[in-house]
Amino acid sequence: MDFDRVVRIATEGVPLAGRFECQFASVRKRERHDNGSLASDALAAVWKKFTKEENFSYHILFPRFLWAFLPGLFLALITWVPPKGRPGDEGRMCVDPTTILDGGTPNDGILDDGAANAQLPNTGRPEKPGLPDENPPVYYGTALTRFLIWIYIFGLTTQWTKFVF
Amino acid sequence: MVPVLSRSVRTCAGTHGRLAPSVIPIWVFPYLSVDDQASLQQAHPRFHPLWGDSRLFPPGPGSYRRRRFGFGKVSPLLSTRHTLPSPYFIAHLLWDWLSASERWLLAGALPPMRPYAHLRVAAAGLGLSLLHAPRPTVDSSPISKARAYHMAVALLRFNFNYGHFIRWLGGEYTGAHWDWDATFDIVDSV
Repeated sequence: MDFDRVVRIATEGVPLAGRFECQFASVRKRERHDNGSLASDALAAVWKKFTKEENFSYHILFPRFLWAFLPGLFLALITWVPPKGRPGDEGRMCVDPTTILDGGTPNDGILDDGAANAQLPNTGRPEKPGLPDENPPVYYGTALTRFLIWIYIFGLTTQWTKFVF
Repeated sequence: MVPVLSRSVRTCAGTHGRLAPSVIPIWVFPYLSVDDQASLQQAHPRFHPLWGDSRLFPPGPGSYRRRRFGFGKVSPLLSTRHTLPSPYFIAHLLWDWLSASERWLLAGALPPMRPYAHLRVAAAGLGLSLLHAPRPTVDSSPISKARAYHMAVALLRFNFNYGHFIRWLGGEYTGAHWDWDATFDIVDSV
């Protein structure tokens, strides 16, 4: 384990290095993008979820017009996953920095290059030193094994019917 | 061309003086009655606070060096940029060099410049101490638009440098509220 890098990631965030570049026209296009997958009746649920998440994450809200002034801004689309009927499932909001508008084909003379994830380098390439700072490799270690053992012991000592996983 | 901070500013009479009348309305305007505000705006377009000169300073608290050069250290390894800069950001940089009538024309040509002008007026007199106060608990109440506007004013006063802005916010926004020593003690013990 690269403990020094872990400490830096914990205190500084990720990525530790990287150069992201896109057209301002792409940002403008993303700002004007209408998320067609969001039905009008879901708007209330989205707003309720957005308000609730303010307690758990540190969103910083700004007036919308400010997007035009921020140098180097990348806009990520927000998609809504409706609830699937499970107990406690209120639906999820997903910040999506991966999707490229128009399927990656130029539209209105603009090729969308404003997806930040599209500019992340592939990880695990030792021929490019410094790359782990741009896209650090993830190791789970024995976390999954320990979790399965915990579930097994939990099942031996508890009646399964009381819980829903 | 010289920025508003150091130039001899044009007065409404066309002469040059050390204090521009166009600076005054922004500071005086909030204290006037509605009738007085209307009278002042009718006196001359330059007296309209939206298009007057306004000075931007990084918000306090902070040392003189921090207020002058910004908060924290910029990493050269991590950057984002646009292939061509935003025309609105350029307009923001040009704002100090424009006359009142030029600003009015610019707001007509670039729509986001009008709310920007309002934001700039707010930045001249809005206190930002509440952003350093503990964050209010959010329940089912609507998201605070006033807090969002305060955030925008703070960002404007940092010339839209969001790195300085976040470091100025500090606390939970930069992870400074965690007890890192205790956290690393736990990590070491595992």
